[in-house]
Amino acid sequence: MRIPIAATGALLLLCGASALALSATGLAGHPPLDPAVTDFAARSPWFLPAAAGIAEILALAGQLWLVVQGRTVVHLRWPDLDPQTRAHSRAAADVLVKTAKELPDVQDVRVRLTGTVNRPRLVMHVTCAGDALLSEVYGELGAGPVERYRRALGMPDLKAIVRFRLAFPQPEKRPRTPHPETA
Amino acid sequence: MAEALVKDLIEEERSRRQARRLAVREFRPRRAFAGLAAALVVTAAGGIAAIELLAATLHSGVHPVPGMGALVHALRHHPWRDAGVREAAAATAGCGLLFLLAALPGRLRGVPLDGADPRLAGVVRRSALRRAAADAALTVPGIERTRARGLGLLRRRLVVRTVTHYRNPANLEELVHAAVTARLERIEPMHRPLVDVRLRWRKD
Repeated sequence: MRIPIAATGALLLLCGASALALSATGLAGHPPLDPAVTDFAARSPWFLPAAAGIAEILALAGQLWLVVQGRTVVHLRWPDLDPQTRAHSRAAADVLVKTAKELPDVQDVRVRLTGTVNRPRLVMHVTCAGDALLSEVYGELGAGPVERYRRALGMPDLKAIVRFRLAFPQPEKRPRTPHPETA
Repeated sequence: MAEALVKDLIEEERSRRQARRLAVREFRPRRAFAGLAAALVVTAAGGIAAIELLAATLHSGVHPVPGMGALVHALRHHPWRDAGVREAAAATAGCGLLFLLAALPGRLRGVPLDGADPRLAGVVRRSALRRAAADAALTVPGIERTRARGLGLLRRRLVVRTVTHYRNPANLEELVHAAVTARLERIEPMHRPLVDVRLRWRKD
């Protein structure tokens, strides 16, 4: 969605900058809605309907964009999946959490199935010990529990997003003297 | 045999690239708020303009949208050099600039992990990586305090500042560097940051 945002920004910047430039030129004494513009609109019967049509298209495009943007934001949190898939996912999620917690150094796992029917996403939050062998946990997760979850749901191409959190113990004051000096 | 090996290598490289692409797509800022704001601006501006222009086309002589009569009156009677008009123009340009800045790709939310599964994307927070580096530095005997910085927009490398109570640090700096690098190997981020160790020791 960055291209429409950039296009909107460029259009607004162009309009604002043009208006500022006009205020510094010889036209600075004229009002923005100059009588010449009103006369031109009155003399050209096509002008107002054409401008109204363009504005209508712009408004419709904006509404469509608003719906798409809103859907994206909402489906990040709540999945747009049928109740049967959701029930299956709940059962499979319990197994996934249980098996993922059995991996070494994994302390806590939370999973959520999000997205739409066409673009479902499995989002996992995994808390590991601070010195965990994260690369191995990551590989094991993908090859074992997540793969089984995909198979249970019948979604072999389900994308899984894993957010790792490292839990470190509270830092303790280290003693100053016991270590001998190095050479 | 050799052909199969080459095919496997090509396949693995392709999977790795797809995994990288998925991670970048998933962890790039979505700019949801900017997108909603821009969509609202376009919808409102287009809608109001369409209603007003259609009313003008039909020669109705009224302004269906409340407040538009006053706006049209102001646009007809205030020149471009008017302070109000200039302020409105500056505000419009400012909004445009903000939207343009919001449209920049932005940096990823966290540090993606390396992997060869194109259906899996993992991430760890930058702060967690810094903390892990500091934790690894503390495992070196003689290191008393440590703090890791960096991985930001300007300072991309991982700077680990350590303090020892030794008067002669000898090869402590290399030991810390090795410990931090080993910890990064355990985490295996997609792009390994350069590690810069700065050691302070007793001078008295």
